[in-house]
Amino acid sequence: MSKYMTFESQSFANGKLLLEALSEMGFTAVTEGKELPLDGWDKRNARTADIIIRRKDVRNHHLLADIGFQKTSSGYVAVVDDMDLDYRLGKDFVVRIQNSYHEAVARKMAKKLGGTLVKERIGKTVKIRVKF
Amino acid sequence: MPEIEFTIYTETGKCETQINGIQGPACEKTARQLKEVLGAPMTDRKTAEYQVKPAVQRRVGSNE
Repeated sequence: MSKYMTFESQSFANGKLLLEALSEMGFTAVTEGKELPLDGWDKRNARTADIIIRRKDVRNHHLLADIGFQKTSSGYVAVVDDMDLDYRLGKDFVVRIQNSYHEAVARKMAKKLGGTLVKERIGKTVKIRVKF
Repeated sequence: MPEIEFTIYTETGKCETQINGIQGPACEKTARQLKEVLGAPMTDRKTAEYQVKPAVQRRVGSNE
């Protein structure tokens, strides 16, 4: 063993990997831009984001508002309506994005290092080994 | 064989990474690549193998 690190942040450092993670979750229609307005938010609490999943494109959830990801100094941070989290997407929505993002990171590292990837699910834990 | 082991805790979103089989500062490059896409780590620890210096054979020759 030579180095051990843990990552818990709910901000996503790499936009491309975030898009890949969202696509894996079924969110394939995504709008990208800079400080784009989010639909469905109260005008008194208007929000903008740089990556957007339009509510009209999420047909199975009937969302009240667009889902956004705002670029910050530490990465992209999710902007999601509380009611959508509570009643439509599930309170663990951002955690599920984290999980998908971490798997996308493992795939990227395997490709970058020319390695092989072995994935194993043990209960609620996913173990991925990238050998190179 | 060098490897990166990812452990993803699906209930919390936490991800542990362990870089195995790369001794010394050579593994810093891989760690840096991970940090670029995962952001700043909460824990960042060198383990025992990190301290092992690669064996270097020196030739001792005569001054002829």
